[in-house]
Amino acid sequence: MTSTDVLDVRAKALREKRRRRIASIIYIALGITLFFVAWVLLSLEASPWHYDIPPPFGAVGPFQDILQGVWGLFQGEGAIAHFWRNLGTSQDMKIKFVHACPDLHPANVNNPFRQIISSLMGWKYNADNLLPGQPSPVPIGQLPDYCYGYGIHLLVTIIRILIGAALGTIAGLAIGLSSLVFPKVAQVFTPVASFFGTAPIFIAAPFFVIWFGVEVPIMTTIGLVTFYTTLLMYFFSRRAAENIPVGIVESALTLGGTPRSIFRWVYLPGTVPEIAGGFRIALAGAWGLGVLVEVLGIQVGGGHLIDIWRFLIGQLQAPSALVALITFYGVLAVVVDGILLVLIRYLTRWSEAGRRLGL
Amino acid sequence: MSHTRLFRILFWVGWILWIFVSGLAVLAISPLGDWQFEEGVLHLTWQFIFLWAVLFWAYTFIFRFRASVAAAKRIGRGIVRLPERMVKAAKANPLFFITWAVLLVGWQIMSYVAPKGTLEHPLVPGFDYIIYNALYRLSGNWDLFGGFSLPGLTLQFGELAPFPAIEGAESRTWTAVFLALGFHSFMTLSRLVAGLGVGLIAGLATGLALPYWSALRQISWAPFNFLRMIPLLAAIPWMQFALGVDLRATTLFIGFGVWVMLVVATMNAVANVPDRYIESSRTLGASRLRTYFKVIVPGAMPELRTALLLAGGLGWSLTIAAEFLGFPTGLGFMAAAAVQETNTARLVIVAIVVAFYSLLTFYLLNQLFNRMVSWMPQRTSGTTDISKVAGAAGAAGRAGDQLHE
Amino acid sequence: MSRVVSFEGLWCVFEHRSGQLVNALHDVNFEVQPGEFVCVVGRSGHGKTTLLRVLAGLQPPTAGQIRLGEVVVEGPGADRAMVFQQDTVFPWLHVRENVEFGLRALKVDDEERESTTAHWLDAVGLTDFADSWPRELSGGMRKRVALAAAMAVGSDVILMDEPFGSLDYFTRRNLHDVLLDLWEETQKTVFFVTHDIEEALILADRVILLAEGKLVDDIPVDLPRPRDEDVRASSAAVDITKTILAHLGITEEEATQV
Repeated sequence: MTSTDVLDVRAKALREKRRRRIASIIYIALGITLFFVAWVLLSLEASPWHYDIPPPFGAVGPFQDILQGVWGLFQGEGAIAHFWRNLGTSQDMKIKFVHACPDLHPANVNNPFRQIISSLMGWKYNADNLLPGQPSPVPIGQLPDYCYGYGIHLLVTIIRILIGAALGTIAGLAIGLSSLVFPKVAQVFTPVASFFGTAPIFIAAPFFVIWFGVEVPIMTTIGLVTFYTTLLMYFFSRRAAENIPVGIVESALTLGGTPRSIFRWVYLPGTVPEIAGGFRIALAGAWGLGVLVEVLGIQVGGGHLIDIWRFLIGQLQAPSALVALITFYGVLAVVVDGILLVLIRYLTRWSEAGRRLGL
Repeated sequence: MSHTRLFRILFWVGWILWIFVSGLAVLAISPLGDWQFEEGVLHLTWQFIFLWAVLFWAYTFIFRFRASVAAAKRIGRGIVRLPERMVKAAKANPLFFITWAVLLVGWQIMSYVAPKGTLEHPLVPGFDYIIYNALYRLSGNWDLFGGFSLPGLTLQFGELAPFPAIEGAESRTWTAVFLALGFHSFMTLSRLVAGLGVGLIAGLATGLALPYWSALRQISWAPFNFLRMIPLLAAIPWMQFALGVDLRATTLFIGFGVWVMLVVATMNAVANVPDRYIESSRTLGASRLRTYFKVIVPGAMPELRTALLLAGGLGWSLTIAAEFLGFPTGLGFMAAAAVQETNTARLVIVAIVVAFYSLLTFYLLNQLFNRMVSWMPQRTSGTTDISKVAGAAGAAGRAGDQLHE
Repeated sequence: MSRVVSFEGLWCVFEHRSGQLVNALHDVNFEVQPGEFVCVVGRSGHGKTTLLRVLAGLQPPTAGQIRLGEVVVEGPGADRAMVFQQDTVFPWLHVRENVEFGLRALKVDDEERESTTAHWLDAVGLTDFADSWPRELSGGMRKRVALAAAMAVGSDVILMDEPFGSLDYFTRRNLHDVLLDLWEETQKTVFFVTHDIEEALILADRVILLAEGKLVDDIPVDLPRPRDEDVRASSAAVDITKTILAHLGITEEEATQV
């Protein structure tokens, strides 16, 4: 029989807890380190993918000579360095006359904000639609530097995809939630949605390219992302409503709930956790979809960057560029997902399921 | 019980072997047939294929006669009752058919109204155009005149239908249309099956193995969650640059995508197995390993249904998109070729074929899954249509009124 | 075979969600003789379940130890099978396989396993349902399966954590009879956690009272068995009830008001 001091026991419990927390942080840090180690190993000279995978970091800084030796024959630069160098202005794009400025009006050409709006709205001001007496457009060679950077291309694509996802979410939720009130909507929409929803969405991309690619290129990205998000959010809102326990609805009925009040106070808040989780899934898919449809033949945007490098593949820099861009989209997706996660945690702080979905 | 299981496995393995053995058997009786087999080159004919198919199905009738007859009867009954069931379904859910009818008729009307465009093919093709022009012209995709090389055997297909690409537009045939669709479907499906198979097996294995060691689970958390978020569709150009354009490349790529997705999903499913099952198993004296395989793994299965279906969808997306961006064969290639000539009609055909196949994939994955978790309780989900609630509310209200009277 | 279970200076400290530390067990010391039927009674959240989980080895104590004879408890094992409050019958195994689960883990040979399983299935009256899925059984029948599974592994101590809490009154009474029959037949030591005083009176040889993690009383229940309504209405039984209620902070008046 041992009688132990209360404080001693508590201190032991606290120590144990702290030890576990520190261990978990160390493990996660170790995971991130191992990820980079694997990346570096794949990029080494001995690796079969030496020419296809650039090292994550270029040979820069005080260890330049050592790293140069380690990276071996790889003539390109590190993925991160490549991205950083080309973010503002890209010499390669200048050589190929690839720019992202659709509006060549002399008054607007130095205004990045105006350029983004123009590329989103499809505004053009160039030699083709020049009226007599108007100032002549800025020659391609004299465009400001930012027109040739990755930055403006990527920004335009991000905005397009977010607009598409927002439109699709509104449409999908409108249809999905209204189908709770008017079941006829569900009867009409479900067969169509499940037909289009099962087919790989990419098969719809060529239609958007043919129909909009020439006249209104932004509709290609926005249209496809909207279409995809609408379908997904429709399914998620239906499923979220199905997962609301019957008991809760019946209890609301016995408390004197009308269809309208039940919709407002039971279905609407009750479906938030799953709908929010669904939106995360939809957005995660939308990045790839939005980028790839631009590869198919849109002249401005993040996908177009990949297309440029696809045809410059003979050059040693192509893997740097492609891997850098893919990594950027990955990091972008993770960052946006993280922001959504925080938002969802806040919105669904009452819900156990919501917390789990938010995880 | 184990005897029947052994027999079943032997039956299926035997049938797969029989695919090849029966082919050889038909070759062995070549003097009787109209096909030529010389110096490792086989000129396929319809007679050859027919004999092969007969032999192939004969296997089931020999080894599982009763089941085969029952299956044949069931299929026959299904076909006979199809019209009756269609009518019944139409009566039960008329809006389904009305919706589709409106969509299809609307498309046809759109084809008359929509701008023709300046291109060779209409932007919105009517069904007449799709069937008689675009579908018929698909025979141009019947272009296997190089033959198909297997180790030790080259197949030549010239006897099956003429190649319009060589012999000109007059030699187009409906046979060639279906052969073209069949060939390109075969290429796509083989890429998909290889990639999906590798991905499913590797993903389930990794996802089930990692959480067994809590340290490994925590270490792999960050890398896998980052890899999962990379938009793989955007990585296809790089994939073709790094891996090339062949079956190995697609298998690695699709397999990688499915693998990453399934690892994360499986690890989540394992984490969500209720603790009480694990504790119960441990207090009954089961070791950690035994608990893992007998309790955690089966307990994680129900949650994998969605992940499995998503994996199927991802596989299809990656296959079609990869073919679209540079493969010389497959349904994705047909779509890409259609975009080259801005032929929307051909796109419609490819889209319908792909949709059909992916529906089939989902159906099969669902069947596979249901077999895996036949123990699962029936899902007791509630009525969700607020109409029913509204109906109940109305009924409750009326009942109340009557009471007051 | 049977061994004395001794709790020696047992402490268990938890962290509450708010970051506060809570003493779930506060220096618990007592001994249980082989074959005793012990009911652990207390309000919810006062350490009953923690005590059982530490005994089962599912939860390490912060300080102190539990010994079975000379062996210190470290981790779960088949010598202390547990029946849980929730439904823990594995839904992916048939009823028979559920009962066999522990025996398979012990690598008992086939013949013995089959005979043992058949015996326990018969003892809980589920022979006819041996090949059913658990989803096809009622809640009470699933509890019988859990009971049979715990009995079948042959442990000398059986732990029960409010096992019949979710069942209706009649099913519960029925299962009490089944449990007492099995206990009398096997003479296993049983730890039975409950908050139901009537249940404790029906079952227990001895009631351990926990309040705020401390052992506040250890009441022997010397009533004749079977404990039918008359026995439970006897003055000895009423005295025990009163003692328990007083310890739980409920006076007799309050109790009757409820």
